[in-house]
Parts: sequence; structure tokens; C-alpha cells
Amino acid sequence: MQNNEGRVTITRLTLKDVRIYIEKIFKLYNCENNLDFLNDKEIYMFSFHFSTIQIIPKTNKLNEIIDALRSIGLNPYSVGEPIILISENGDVKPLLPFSRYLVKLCKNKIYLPEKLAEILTYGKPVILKEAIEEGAYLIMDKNDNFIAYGIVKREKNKTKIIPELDIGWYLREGG
Amino acid sequence: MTIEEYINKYNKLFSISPSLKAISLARKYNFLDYMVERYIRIMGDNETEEFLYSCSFPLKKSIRCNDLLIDCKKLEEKMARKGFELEKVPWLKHGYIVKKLPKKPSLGATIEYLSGYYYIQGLASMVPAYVLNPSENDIVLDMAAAPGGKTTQISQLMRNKGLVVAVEKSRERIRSLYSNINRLGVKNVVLLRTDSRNLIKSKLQFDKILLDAPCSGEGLIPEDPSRRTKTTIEDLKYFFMSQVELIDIAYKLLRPGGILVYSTCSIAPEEDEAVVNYLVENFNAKIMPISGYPSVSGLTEYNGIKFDDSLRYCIRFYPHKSGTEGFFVCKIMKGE
Repeated sequence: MQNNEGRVTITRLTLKDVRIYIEKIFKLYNCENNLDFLNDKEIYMFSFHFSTIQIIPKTNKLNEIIDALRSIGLNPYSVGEPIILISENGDVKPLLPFSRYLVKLCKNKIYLPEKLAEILTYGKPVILKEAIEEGAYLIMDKNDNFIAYGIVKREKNKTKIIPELDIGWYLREGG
Repeated sequence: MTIEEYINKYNKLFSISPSLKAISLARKYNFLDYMVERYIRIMGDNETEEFLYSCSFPLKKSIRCNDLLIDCKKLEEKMARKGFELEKVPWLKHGYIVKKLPKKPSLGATIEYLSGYYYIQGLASMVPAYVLNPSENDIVLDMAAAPGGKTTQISQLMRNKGLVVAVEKSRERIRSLYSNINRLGVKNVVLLRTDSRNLIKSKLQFDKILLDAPCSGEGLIPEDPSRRTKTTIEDLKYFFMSQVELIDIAYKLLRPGGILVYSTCSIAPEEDEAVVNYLVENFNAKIMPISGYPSVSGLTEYNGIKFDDSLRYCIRFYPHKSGTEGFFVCKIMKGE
């Protein structure tokens, strides 16, 4: 969820350009292949050592403002919601704001009691007795709040949920 | 009049000789002498002591419900189940006082907080965004945006429509701004790390601008007792010069007929009325009335210096009068 400001290049993407990245994530979390949430958005890729895909509602003046900023040598630090991180080796990962769209589209979800969910917000794994198939899941609490992107692993007769990116990030790293 | 000429003209603002009364109160409440002398000149003897006394007590914690992500009634219920008692503030659409807190979790570590359902924010500091009153079609500039309380509130009021350009020059502080924007589900912000002064090189014009200016924080003494002895009169003059420079830039970036809200978390007239007065004296700027808040009028005279009469339309918050942090808000319309 870092920002790669600096000698960053910003490129406008089309739906076609971004589809390949989003579909990787959709596949991972077993989601309905529905890109409707991008219909009213401009899509940008911010690239330096790594890349992020960021989306913002379309408005008349958006590109005019970005062009005006560029004309005086200023690049935005971010635009709207950062939804996907693409690392240098090509790994594609969802960022926290993307969860608000994914929870409506994906089937790989695990609901945890609040006490266990809280442990994940410290970036720590939790162990369950229940058997859950290995894979990538959206981890939710019982009140339907998104808590983390998690990986499920089977260890002996137990299930381990390892948070890959959790909402505690906002406190730990966000400042 | 140039900025330099204006600053020289008002240099007398910074000539303060503390009286015996001020020195005595300053000793009693552990403030700098010159600060108390200024309070006496603003409020008179009796009210000054009331104000100094009120600074000894921390303010009640308060939050802003983020109805972009949750219905505020539902938030009240969720928080009540965790032992937080919230009381709606009648004069703030999304403001709540936290009347009771459990031992655990802390207000800034609940799942509801991490999910972006609320922002921990002083009551008076919620006022500037309401006064700005951005609409869903506006292009808004937030000139000193970190940590993002007011930026996210502006987006909330715009229902994530229109566009907000949020500027912050500090590399450290922009991280918290970025984090808060994302946490609170804000979608319509272009975030820029630069000094707002650089924007003047562009041809950009904004419908509305919020300048919550970097300041001495003299209104935050109830929260941070170190501020009783932190700011010297020279520091205050430095803030004044920098604020006049910023408000000059803000005004130039505003479209004719546009609205600028200037605010500070300071009760210093040197950082408040004296700064806004620069616009009234030099441009076709009109101060607009603000109503509906438990505040007092802006000052039209201080330390023997007369400001424009319309400065009375600005509003001031004090802990002993409003039960809030000390704060100043002024609404300015740019002449066509």
C-alpha cells in the first residue's frame, strides 16, 4: 500500500488494459467476473520500482487538473483509490480499498468471531480447529466488516489463517 | 500593498508589555507573560482567568461519524455494544462526544475505527468543512491537508463526487493523510505532495478552498499543556508572515465568486483576524456571516489596532465558552 512517488510515471489505462490484473485477483478470491464498478472511473497506473493501479470517479476537470499540475512539474502522489499493487517480479496483490468492491463480488470469504478478527489486525495469524480448504480468502468478522486478505494453510489437523494485508495496516504503517 | 508592506504596517501587533496582572496570572497558571497579556487585551481580566482555568482540563473526546461508510445510528449502536457511549452534538451534523469509554479497546484501535466508520476529531475542527459547504460539482482545494480530518470530511459532504485536490508538503505527514483517505473510503481526492505556494505557477482556479493554516496551536492548550510556554512572540510573527503569504496564494487560486474558508486551531488575533484583514484591505474580498455555532464574533480591534468591521462575521471558539478547543473560522467570498 506504499506510494511510489519520486520519478514516478503516470499512465491512463483503459478497461482492457486493467482487465488482466483484476481478473488475476478475481480468480484468486473466486469472484464474479464483473467490472461494472469501473464503468464510471478513470484508471491510472503509477509506476516506479513497483506499480499501483488507482481509480477515481470520472469528472469533467480531472484530466485538465492533472495536465495543469504536470505542466508545472508536479505529479500527484495518489489519485482516488489505490486498488492493486504490482511488484517488480510481476506479483499482483489487492490493496485495502479494493476490499470494499471485492466483498460484494467474491465467494472465498471466512467469517471469524471478533476476538480472532482482532488478532489479525495486529498482523498475526490465527489457528482454527475447523477444516477449511487451502487458498486465498477475504477474512471478515461476524459483523460483516472486512478485516484482512488472508492465506489459509492446513497444518496437521488445524487451519492456519495468515493475514497478507489487514486493516491494522492503517495504524501500524499509515501514521 | 505588498505582503511586506502589510506586515510592516501591522508590526505593532507584536509589541506587548505584560502588566503586573498578566504576570501574576501567568505565574499562577504557568503561561508565558506575554500570552496572558494578550488574553487580557482580547477578553478582559475576569474572562481571562476563566479561560486560563478552563485550559487545565482536557477536552472530552469527540468523533465524526463517516456516513460514507455507515449509517450514524448504526455506529452509535455498534459502539454502545463495545462500551462506548456516544452523545450527538446538536450543532454538528456528524459530530459526537464520547461520554464513556471502556478500558479496552482504545478509541483509535477498534475494528470500527480501522474500518473507517469514524474519525477522531475535535468539535470545532469539524466546523470549517461545514462552513465551506462543498457541493457535489465543486472543484475544491485543501491547502494544508494532513492528517486529513478536514479533507475526508469535505469528501464526505460531497458524497465522493466532484474533486478535491489535497496538498501537503511534508513527506512524513502525507503518509497519515494517504492512510486516512483510504481508511475512510474517500474516492474523489487527488493528493499532491508539494508546497501550496507552487500551485500559483499553474493556471488552476478552484470553486472552493480550505486553508486550515499551519499555526501556533494556541487553541490546543487544554490538550497539550506544553503549548503554555512554547510559542514566543517572534514565533507568532513568523506564523503571521507565513499565513499572510498562504492566504494571498489561496485568494489568487480562487475563482471569482468562489469561497475561501480560513481556519486555525489558534486564538491568536495575529494568526486569525490580522491575516484575513489582509484580504479585505487589499482585494475585493467579502467576509460572509456564519451562524449556528456556539461561538463568539471575530475581533475588530486588538492591541490598539483596528481591523475591518466585517471581521466580526468570523467566529471564535474558546474552551470556557464553547467546550471545544480554541479555534477560528472565517468565510470569505472573492469579488467578481
